[in-house]
Amino acid sequence: MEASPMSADAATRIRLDQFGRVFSTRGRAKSIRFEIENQGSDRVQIILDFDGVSAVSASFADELFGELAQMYIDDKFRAQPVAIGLTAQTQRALLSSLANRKVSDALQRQLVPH
Amino acid sequence: MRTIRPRSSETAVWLSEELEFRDSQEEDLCIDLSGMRQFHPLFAVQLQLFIDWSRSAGRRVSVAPPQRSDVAATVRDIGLRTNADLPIGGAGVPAVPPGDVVMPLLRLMKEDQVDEIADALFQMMNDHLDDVAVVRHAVHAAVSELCQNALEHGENSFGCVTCASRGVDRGSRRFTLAVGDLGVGVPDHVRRQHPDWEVDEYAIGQAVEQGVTGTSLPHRGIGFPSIAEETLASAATGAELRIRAGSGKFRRVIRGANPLPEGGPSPPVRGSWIVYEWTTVAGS
Repeated sequence: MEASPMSADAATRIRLDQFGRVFSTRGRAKSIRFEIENQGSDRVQIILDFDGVSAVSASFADELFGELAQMYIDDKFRAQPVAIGLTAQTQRALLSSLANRKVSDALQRQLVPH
Repeated sequence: MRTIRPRSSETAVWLSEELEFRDSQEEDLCIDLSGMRQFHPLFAVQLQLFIDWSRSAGRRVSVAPPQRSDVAATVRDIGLRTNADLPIGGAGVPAVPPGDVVMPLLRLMKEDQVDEIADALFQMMNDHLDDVAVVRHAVHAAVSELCQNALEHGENSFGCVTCASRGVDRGSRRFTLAVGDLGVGVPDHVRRQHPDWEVDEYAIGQAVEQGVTGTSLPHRGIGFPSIAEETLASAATGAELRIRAGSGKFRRVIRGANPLPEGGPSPPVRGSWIVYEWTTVAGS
């Protein structure tokens, strides 16, 4: 997995397009999330780069990003997930997931800068 | 042998009353399509599952083809099977559709097959279907969420059957997606968390409108609302969702005239039957 940390243990950047361009199911999200959890368990921040991703379903967005956000909020995962490189559609899907999980507007803007 | 002649009309979208999934049926069957005037995707899904269910019970099923050449061509392109299994997963989605049947009848048994067809259909619409590409995100959402739901909550051995077509109807260009399964049905699934919702169309409506889920996780009921969200974000000039499950039916105009939900009772059916239709060019 590609990694370009800002410092040794600060952040990891992960490109989603290495897994594909279109993402549809929770199962797919889970398998990617498990890899992310393994790679980023000792990081302060995980940057999920969606550049090159054409479409994500709501279920995928929720199982990947919503779940990572929830784990971060619940102190079950150290790294703060941040999404970049979003199209209007992928941003919509991620923000809907966070809103559905009752994440505050302020934290939504931190996790999905917009 | 018993002959069934499904009604053929614009509204023959729903399961013909003759195509009942009654366990007591024992005779071999002939499905007589000779008089059909159209072959709607949802009817194709219903008919295919009915054939599969009958074959699994040891009944032989034959189909008398439509007499109208255009309807016969649709039945051929949509890939109705009487003696063979449907293609499974993404292998069945053509890179470029030969005609108006964009995605022939496919059976999905596992979640990764949903990934395959959703990906293939999105790419096809993006690359080759200029007339309906404006709704590719909404279609992707619908395929992903509806097929995933059918597999996850349907709990049956026939999986989920789906197909899609496009066409021109009275000057309007439309894209139609149909999904069906013989599972527990939307109302019974929702009642796992809301047992007091005894009226089936009410339970369906709550799942569509409020994102209610039958799982124990409140944030999970995002499927139907997300499809509506993508539809409203698209350039579709109209869109309509129709569902029939249990003893209820539900219709929701997502974009267009009369955007109020409509629900009501209907004769009981096994499983869930869903059609989503987008209008990309409105007729004059």
